Amino acid sequence: MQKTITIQVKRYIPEKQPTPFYQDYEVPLETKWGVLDALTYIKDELDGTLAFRWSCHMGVCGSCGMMVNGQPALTCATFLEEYLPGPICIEPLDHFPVIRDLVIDTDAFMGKLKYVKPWLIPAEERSVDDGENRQTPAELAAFKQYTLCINCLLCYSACPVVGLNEDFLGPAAIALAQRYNYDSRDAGQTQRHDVLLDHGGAFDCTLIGECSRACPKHVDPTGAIQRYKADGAMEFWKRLLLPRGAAKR
Amino acid sequence: MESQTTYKRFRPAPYTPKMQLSWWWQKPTYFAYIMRELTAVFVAAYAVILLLTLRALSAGEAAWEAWTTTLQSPLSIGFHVVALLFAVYHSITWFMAAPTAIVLNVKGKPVPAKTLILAHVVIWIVCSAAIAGILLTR
Repeated sequence: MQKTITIQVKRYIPEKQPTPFYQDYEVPLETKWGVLDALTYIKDELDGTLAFRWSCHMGVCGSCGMMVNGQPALTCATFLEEYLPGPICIEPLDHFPVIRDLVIDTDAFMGKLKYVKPWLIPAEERSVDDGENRQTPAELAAFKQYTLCINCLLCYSACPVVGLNEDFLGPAAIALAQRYNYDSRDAGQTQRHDVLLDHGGAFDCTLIGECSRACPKHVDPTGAIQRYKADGAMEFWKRLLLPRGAAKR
Repeated sequence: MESQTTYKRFRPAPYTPKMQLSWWWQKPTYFAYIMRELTAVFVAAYAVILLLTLRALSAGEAAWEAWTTTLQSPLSIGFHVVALLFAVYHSITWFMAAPTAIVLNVKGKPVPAKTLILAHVVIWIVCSAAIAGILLTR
C-alpha cells in the first residue's frame, strides 16, 4: 500500500537563481487530501520557503489555480488520489509572468478586466430613492452563467492565443464583458463594443474551446466570445453602413 | 522627532516562460484545433481546382479533355480523397461549434445544443443530397 507520493514543484527564487528549477518533495498520501493540502504540508513541515497562493480552500476564491501535470486546475479541487502512483508535477499557471515559485503576476489581467468595463453602466443615473432595479427570472437567466466566473485564470492558461498574443483580452475578461452586455439593467454595450471590436478583442479568439473545458465553474467563455462575435459583426456593419447617429445607440 | 524608515519595494524581475513551437502537439484538443485550421488550406486548394476547371471548360473541347485526364491521374484522385476528408472534418467541427454562438429560445426555453447540431447536420445532408442528385442525374 502506497504511503507517500512525490510532488515535483517548479520553483523560481529570483534572488538566488535567475531560472526556474524543479524540486521534489515526498508527502503523505492521505485520502481526501487535495493537491493544495500537499503544498500546505510542504510549506508547514518540509520547506517554509515555498510560495503559493490560496485562500478559501473550497473552489470559490480562485486563488489556487496552478498547472497540475500540465493541466490548469484549482489545486483545492484536485485530489492526490487522482494521480496515483505519482509523481505529481505542480507548475505556476501557463502564460503568466512568475513572481516566485507558484505565484504569478496577475497585473496584466487586472488591467484587461478593467478595460472591458465589467460593471453596470445604466442608461440613466439612478439614486437609492428610485428603489430596486428589478429583473425577471428570464432576464437574470440571460447572463447568470457568466456571473459565476471567479477570476481563477485557468482559462488564460488553457488558451494558446493568450500565450501567443499578449494583447488578447482573454476568455474571462470577454465573458465578464458579456455578463454586463446581456444584463437588462445595463446600457454600456456601445462602450464595450469599442474595446471588444478593437485589436486584441473578441475577434482575436480562434475558437479552440480549451477555456470552457478548463473552467471549474462552467462559465463557458468560448460561448460568450462566439456570441459576441455574432453581436460584434452586426455592430461592425452598422457602424460602417449607417449614419453615425443611428449606429451609436 | 521619530526617525523615518524608508521602505523600498522588493520586486525582482519576474520569470516569463515562452511557449514552445510544438505547443499544438502537446494536447489532443490543440492538435484537433490545428487540424481544423489546416482544413482551410485544402478547401482553398479545391476552390482553385474549381476555377481551373471553369477555365478549361471555357477554353474549348481539347483543353477540357486534357484537364479531365489530369484530374483522373492517381495523384489527383489521391488529393481529392484527402481534400474530401479534410472538408468533411471542417464541416463536422463547424456544426459542432454552432451551439456555442447560437442561443435560441423556443417558448421561453433554450433549445438544447444537440438539437441545434442535429438540425445543422440534417440541413447539410439534405443540401448535399440535392446537389449530388442534380450532378448525377444529368
